[in-house]
Amino acid sequence: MTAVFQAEGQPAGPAAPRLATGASLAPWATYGGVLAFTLVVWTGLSMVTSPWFFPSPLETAKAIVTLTATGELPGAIGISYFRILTGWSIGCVLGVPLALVAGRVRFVRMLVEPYVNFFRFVPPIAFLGIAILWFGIGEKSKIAIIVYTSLFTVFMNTMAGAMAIDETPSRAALSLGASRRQVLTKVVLPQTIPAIIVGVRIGMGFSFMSVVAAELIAADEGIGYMIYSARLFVQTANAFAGIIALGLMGLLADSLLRLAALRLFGRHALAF
Amino acid sequence: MANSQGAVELAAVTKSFAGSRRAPGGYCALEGVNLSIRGGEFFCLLGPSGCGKTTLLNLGAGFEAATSGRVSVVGRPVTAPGPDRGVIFQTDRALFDWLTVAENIAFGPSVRGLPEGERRQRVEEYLQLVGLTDHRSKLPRELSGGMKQRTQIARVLANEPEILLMDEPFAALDAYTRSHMQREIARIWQATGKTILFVTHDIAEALWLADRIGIMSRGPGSRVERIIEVPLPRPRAKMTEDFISIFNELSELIDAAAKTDATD
Ligand SMILES: Nc1ncnc2c1ncn2[C@@H]1O[C@H](COP(=O)(O)OP(=O)(O)OP(=O)(O)O)[C@@H](O)[C@H]1O
Ligand SMILES: [Mg+2]
Repeated sequence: MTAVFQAEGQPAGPAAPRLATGASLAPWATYGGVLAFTLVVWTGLSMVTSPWFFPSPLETAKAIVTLTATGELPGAIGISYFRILTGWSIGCVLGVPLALVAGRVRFVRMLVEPYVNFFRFVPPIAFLGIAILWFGIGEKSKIAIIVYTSLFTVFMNTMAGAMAIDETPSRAALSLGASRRQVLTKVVLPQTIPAIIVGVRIGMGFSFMSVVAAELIAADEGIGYMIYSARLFVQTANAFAGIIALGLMGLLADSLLRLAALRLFGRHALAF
Repeated sequence: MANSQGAVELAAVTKSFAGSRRAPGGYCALEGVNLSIRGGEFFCLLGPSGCGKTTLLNLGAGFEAATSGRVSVVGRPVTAPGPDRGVIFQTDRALFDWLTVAENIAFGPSVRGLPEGERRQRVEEYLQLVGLTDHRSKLPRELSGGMKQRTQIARVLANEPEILLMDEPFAALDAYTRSHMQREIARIWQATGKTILFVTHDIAEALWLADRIGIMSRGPGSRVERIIEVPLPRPRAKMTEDFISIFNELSELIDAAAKTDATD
């Protein structure tokens, strides 16, 4: 049997057979192609408009170099990262345990659900004014907004995950002699890990959105502030530079998060 | 081998499931079930699909409570699951997906605090018994259906419970592995004197294994309609004439209990 299957040309090994839809290109070739295409279209657009309306890739690159040399861009990246990571970490630390308990204990779930269903329609940025009133114009108000953003996202996903897990493994554990507490830590928690990772990743994404929104409105540093002030002074290339930096920041943070998740929880059926 | 105390007893047990919006009125799966399984006995439960075999097992395991009636194990009423009753589930979702085969098997001994040395020895012993020694480091998602089921069986046996509740444990296995596992479970049963409640669809399997066979009627409100002693001598390795005549007799009884008209 095995010989027959191998003769068909399926390489033996752990790699799952791909349900390919024709694309057999190496990933780097695809990425390179997409990048080249983007640069061509971008250059084309910049040629039919003007630099302050649509700066070319070259002008944007120059802006990046200048902003890096003056220290403005690294500073902005640093402060925005600081706000995101601080707020997001606090949000995760609070959100995950709360969501686990709410997902497993009906009574707790019934207590928090009305709040959740109410606040899900209130975007984080709506709290900015109040946050400034409560925490001042400094870092605390921005971090508070990120905490709210990530706490909410992480909570929603983790709770949904903890609620949806199959009961059978818990039953098996109980009849193998596990205590209720052991079931929670040794069965329910591992079962919920994929949902937690999804929640934490989405929470990170939303944190980026919130930080920029907060910095656009009320900040004198950070990537959002940089993009906004570039518009004020019609330095469009600087705004482009900020947007590119933002995308790369997100990409880097998410890649590291995925890498860490795969390292730590590679045995779990992660959704990536 | 069998002693007189009922290892698993159900007295006038009824189990109804509450209704939902889709199925208002609920469903009465078991009604007035009386069953007494002797200590050390190998008891097989036969019945058509959906008659309530898993439901009955869940009551014995303590996963669910009876709507009325008494369920007891060695004289004590069942209130919760416990390591005295090992359960082999019909579904392979019962495995711990994030643990390897060996770690799954070690789970019971580990949560019950067995010393490291003994734990390791048991894992080896039962890995070998189910023929998974070479696959010990695989995760459940890397196993075939039959291997998953064998992992489940080893995991429960490694915990050495007094009573085994087995829900169609060999249904997913190929014919060769199934007959091997049947021989093994018969051997373990004879060597250890465990009490086994074994659910199956398969009349021949019940005849290979059981001291007594309970035949359940079709639901709703199903019950253990008849109990038959299997008079065949052990070991039951061959298709003797006696075997065949009992097989035929049993088929007819099951058809009668299942009211023939319905298909399985
Ligand atoms: N949680 C539940 N809610 C409502 N009805 C249920 C529930 N569990 C089981 N039932 C019903 O009880 C009846 C018996 O189910 P059970 O799973 O015990 O059957 P079974 O004899 O094990 O069948 P099979 O041989 O196919 O495994 C079925 O009609 C089923 O629909
Ligand atoms: Mg069943």
